[in-house]
Amino acid sequence: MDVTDVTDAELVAGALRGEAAPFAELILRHQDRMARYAARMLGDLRDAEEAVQDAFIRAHRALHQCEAPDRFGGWLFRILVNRCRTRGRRRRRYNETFVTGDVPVEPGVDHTAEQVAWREEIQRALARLGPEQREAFLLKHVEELSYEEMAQATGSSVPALKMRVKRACEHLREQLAEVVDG
Amino acid sequence: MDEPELNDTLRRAVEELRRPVSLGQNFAPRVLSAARRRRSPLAGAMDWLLRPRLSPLGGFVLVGAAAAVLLLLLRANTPAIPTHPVTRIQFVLRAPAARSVTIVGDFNNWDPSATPLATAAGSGGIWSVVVPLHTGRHEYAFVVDGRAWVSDPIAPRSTDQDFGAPNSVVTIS
Amino acid sequence: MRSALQRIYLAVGATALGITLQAGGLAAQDQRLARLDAATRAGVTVVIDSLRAGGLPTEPLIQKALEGASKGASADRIVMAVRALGRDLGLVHALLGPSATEAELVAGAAAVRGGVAGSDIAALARLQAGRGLLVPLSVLAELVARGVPVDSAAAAVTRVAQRGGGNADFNTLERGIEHDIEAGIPAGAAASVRAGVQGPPIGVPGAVNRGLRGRPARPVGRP
Repeated sequence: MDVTDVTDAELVAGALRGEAAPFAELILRHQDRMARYAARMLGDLRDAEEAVQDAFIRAHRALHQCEAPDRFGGWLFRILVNRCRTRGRRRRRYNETFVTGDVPVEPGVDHTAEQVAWREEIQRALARLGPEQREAFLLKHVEELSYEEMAQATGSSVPALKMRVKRACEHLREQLAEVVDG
Repeated sequence: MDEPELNDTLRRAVEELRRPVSLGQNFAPRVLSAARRRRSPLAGAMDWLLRPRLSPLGGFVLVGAAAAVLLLLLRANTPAIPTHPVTRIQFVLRAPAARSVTIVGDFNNWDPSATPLATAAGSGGIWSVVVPLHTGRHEYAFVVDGRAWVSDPIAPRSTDQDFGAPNSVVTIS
Repeated sequence: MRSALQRIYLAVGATALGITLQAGGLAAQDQRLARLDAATRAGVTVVIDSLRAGGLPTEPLIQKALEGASKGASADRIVMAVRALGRDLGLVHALLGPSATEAELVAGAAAVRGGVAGSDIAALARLQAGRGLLVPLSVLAELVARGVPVDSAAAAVTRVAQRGGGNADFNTLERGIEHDIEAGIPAGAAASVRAGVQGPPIGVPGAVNRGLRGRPARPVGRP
């Protein structure tokens, strides 16, 4: 029996019975995707880690409210989106600086100076977007959610999300063109 | 993806942004630990300890990126030895094809039969046990199917290898 | 005042004396050692008696012997491992003094086993006076086991102690270094950077700048 045979819904059921192991598996299964979104959204790996941890803890506590355990991933992502919003707002209250110095570094990734610089430019361009545009852009183009899924995750309307993605793309094209063109 | 919105530069940026970000296998225990600490003490641990379990698994193959989760549950004072605080630690190993898993360490005289882990149907081969530990630095290992000594893939390793494979370490402060 | 070095010689000497005295076990034998064969038990008992005579805890030695027995190690190997642990515990006891707890001695012995110098442990003990050494020593041992060069690991832990860090700070240091190593950063560099950038407390401007390449965070127009 391979662990991949077990569905999220079965793991949710196990976790609801009070068992730790199934929830551990849910964490292992979803943590990296959540980390990617949070890292791109917050621009800081440690903040991202805390946001993801916070999201899992809230999910653990509210698991009985997950109405469709077979879509646990989507439900969890909605919590994460909210945690990132809260964390972003809190940070702005304390410090107006958006940190770009801690661009996530992944194992096995090219760390040449050129590559690192390009990665930082992208993160800086993202940081210059408003949080709503950044969120919409990441959900659409990086996480590849449909607009309907995005509406569920963010609570915003589909037309509003389409507009945000469009604006975000315009801004990013403009800023990154400056980098590319020198 | 709505490609028309993306020119070549933006497409390159998106590819970069889609690179995975890994939190590593140490992340899960930290989350579980934090989640447990915010719950009522004992409740989850007692559920876990008292639940009867079945092992539907056969054969011994430790499946790939196996995760062992070590979970700090709660601190409590044992009535019998009030001066020694005890912390309940949940040790978890993912071994989908194992028929039995036990834990050995300086807390059970390294006795391979003393502390079996349990698994539950539908858990994906995740084995678990709660062990009360005193303050200190403890070394341990898992024994799978009575013969294979396996260190905890996510815990720190011991500095010595006196008897072959290194042990894992948990420090209770 | 007796120097730390003199105390170490005395402690190690006491261990050696215990070995030569052996004389059939001064202390009542622990029932658990019945799992060992007679020759192993005799060799182990000598070391146990020696440490007991020096006022050192013996449980770690018993556990080391039982670990060897469970792993099917030979008598020689078990006795050697127990002696080595006895020697390390004696050294750490001499460095930390009689007030050290068993847990601190065990953690210190693990650090020594990893190659940490006695002088580093003594320095850490001075910095941590009254604050406990279990966590910093354990973190130090774990960093070394993780592949962080001994000097870098000792410097990083010492730096946190110099700042008056608590257990959470030592754990944060270890977590950060582990995280960086997993991200492909060389262990020594990770230790230096993590120890170097943990200065300002949270909430102080600059505290959130954790750039790994030493580049300051740049403010941008709109967060």
